[in-house]
Amino acid sequence: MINIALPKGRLGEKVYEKLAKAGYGYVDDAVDSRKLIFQSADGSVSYFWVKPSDVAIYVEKGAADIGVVGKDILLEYSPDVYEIMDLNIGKCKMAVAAKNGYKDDSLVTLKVATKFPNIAKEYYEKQNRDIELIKLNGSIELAPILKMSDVIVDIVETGTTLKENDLSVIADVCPISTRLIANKASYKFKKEEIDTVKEKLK
Amino acid sequence: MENIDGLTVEERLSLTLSALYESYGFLRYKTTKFEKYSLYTENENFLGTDRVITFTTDGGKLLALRPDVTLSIVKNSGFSNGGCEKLFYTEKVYRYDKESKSFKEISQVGVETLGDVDTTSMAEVVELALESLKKLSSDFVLDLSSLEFVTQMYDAYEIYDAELKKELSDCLEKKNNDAVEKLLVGGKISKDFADAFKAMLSISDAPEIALEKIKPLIKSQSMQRAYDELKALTDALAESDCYGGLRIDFSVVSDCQYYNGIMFNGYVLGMPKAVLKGGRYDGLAKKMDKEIGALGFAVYVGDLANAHHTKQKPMTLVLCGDGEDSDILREANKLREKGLIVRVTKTVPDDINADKIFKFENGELKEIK
Repeated sequence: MINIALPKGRLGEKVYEKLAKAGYGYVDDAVDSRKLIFQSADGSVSYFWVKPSDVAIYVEKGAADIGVVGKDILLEYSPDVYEIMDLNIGKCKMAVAAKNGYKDDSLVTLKVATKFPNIAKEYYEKQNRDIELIKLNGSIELAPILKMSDVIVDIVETGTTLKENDLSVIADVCPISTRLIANKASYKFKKEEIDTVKEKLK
Repeated sequence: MENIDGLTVEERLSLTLSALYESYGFLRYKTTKFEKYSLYTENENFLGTDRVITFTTDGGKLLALRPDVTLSIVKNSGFSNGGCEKLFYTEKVYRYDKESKSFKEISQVGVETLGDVDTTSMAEVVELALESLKKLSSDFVLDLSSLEFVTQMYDAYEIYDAELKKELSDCLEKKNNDAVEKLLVGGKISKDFADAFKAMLSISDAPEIALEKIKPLIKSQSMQRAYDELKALTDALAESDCYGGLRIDFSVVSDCQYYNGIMFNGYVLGMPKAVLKGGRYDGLAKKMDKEIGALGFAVYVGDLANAHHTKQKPMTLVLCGDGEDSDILREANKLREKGLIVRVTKTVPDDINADKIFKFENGELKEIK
């Protein structure tokens, strides 16, 4: 039996659908019920629905053998896991955005609001830029509007939210997509099963 | 795992492993918990952190609670030429844990070989690592890698940029094929190198199979030498009882410049991360002006012990009731003579798993459960 941590939401459902179609079979109410754990029809796979940002933790700690997680989470938390496949779904980018018309003054400390302090820190460290990090948990776009920060570092998918709030991307940090990750110890003892799942997701 | 009554899981593991190392003629290394702080500031790269617990002595010396044992062993080694110094230790070290953002006490049992570290000594240490894992579980894997082979592959393909090497090392550590592909698409590496590197990255096999996969990747004499070293080492281990648990896997890497040659990580079924880590670190000895080879590993016995919930043994309670002190002690001892674990108490404690309860009533001991 292999344990898979799936992120609650569209991406997790897409991966579940793909695995079910590829031969693991469908489970009644797998997506709609409030059940957090369910098994594939043939009993070879056990799925968990978890908060997207927690998937890497479940895999690193060995509660799940493999998991489906965004590259943003991997970059932010650097879990000690194998990153075995780019699923090429959930594509977006990590970017720096500011209010339209914003002009950067390199002589002052840049105020950066973000949900991803480690990614932001590393990005500006490479540029030797002095920053003040403001860690937020949501509605990041509000920070520059209220002049709490100069810029934000956040995930940009379509750019609609930015546009609606008079913000725009001023620099790209890195591309993001969804990855299949594996617990290192699980990979030693369940390599064949993990490789089978990987093949089915190709 | 041997069953020794009265000891915690951690103590049992430490004893079992110590006995194993002693049987190979390794000598116990014992040291104080304190070390000069400067040892760690001078070797921050080896340690991987600058965060240690420090304090000042009455004389104004800055000391640290030991975050590592290897540094002290190498520093104190008086070994120069001929043969090997073979040591083992059972120590607690104190390291900063990024996850909990606080210092943690870590229990380690480890082995160090210093001196003329030839193939025989290397094979012996790897065999000891395999034997250690076998003592912990019947299902185990030891991943063995050669940093030398990886380094020589970079040189053979003229990859010298430190930043790029760091990215490649990260790909190797995470078995991230797609990231290698992106470096190729981005023009940072050649097609030939990407193909060879991806082939190396996907290896996670028993030595015979892995060596066959490595052979076609050899592009220089230096790579050939690293391959020969790996082959000689695995050949030497082929008749060992634990050989079945050995794999070659290049995802065991280190950014630490003091590591060279072989590196290995050990896993046992049921533990989510490596429980044994080791490798060759001649560079550290050289930094301390010692022209010797150095190879060792540590077993994280604390992590292993934490994964086992200690089951309390059933206990017999003797409730004092109205019994005389001398009667209570005598009757309790009588029960102990029958092989029972007996606790004398006034009331029944909530945290005790009592299978029998006796009570003194009207001066007589009666079984009430």
